[in-house]
Amino acid sequence: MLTKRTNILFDEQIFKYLVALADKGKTSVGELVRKAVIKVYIKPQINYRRMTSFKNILRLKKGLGHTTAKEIKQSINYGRKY
Amino acid sequence: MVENTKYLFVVDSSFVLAFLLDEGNTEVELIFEKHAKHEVKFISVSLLKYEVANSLRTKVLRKKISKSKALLLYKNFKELDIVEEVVDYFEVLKSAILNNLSFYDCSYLYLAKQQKAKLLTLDSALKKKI
Repeated sequence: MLTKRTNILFDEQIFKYLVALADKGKTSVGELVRKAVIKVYIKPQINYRRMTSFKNILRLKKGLGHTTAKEIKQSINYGRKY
Repeated sequence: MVENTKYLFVVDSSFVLAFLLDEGNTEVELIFEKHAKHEVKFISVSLLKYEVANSLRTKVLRKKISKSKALLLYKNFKELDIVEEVVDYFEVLKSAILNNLSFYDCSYLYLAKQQKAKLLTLDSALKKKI
């Protein structure tokens, strides 16, 4: 939900370009800015977090050895009982 | 919203636990790497986080893994960003009765059918129902 407001100053040229772009895409300048913020600042952070977690898991399970599908299913079913 | 099924997968607890606990399961690791790179998207039901946590707890109680390792595995599992979707529990129950499956297993299967996505599971009984 959009609840926080801010004012942004742009060069006139950039602002004109953004208005034209928003008109073309039948959207608003605000929406363009929000999308750009997510693309530049939020998504890379999520990507980095996911990849770090993936690598951490590979590192953490080193030495655990092979666990069969049957053993995994047994531990799931055990958890469902208690 | 139904997403592009080519890239969308439903994962169950057996599949996630194989990634967390089975060392050297390259087949499972490869697809998790794709998820980490955003090449595929994993979704699941809310049950997943309980089943994964419960299995890790069991492993700790049976002294198969240390408490600290279990906690770290769970923390990292949560940060993989497997999206939790809501299913219609009444429909899941109907499907569970019809397919002679547990409500738990059927919730994964139901989500896969609802989203027209492939279900990734190591459960042979569940695989037969796909």
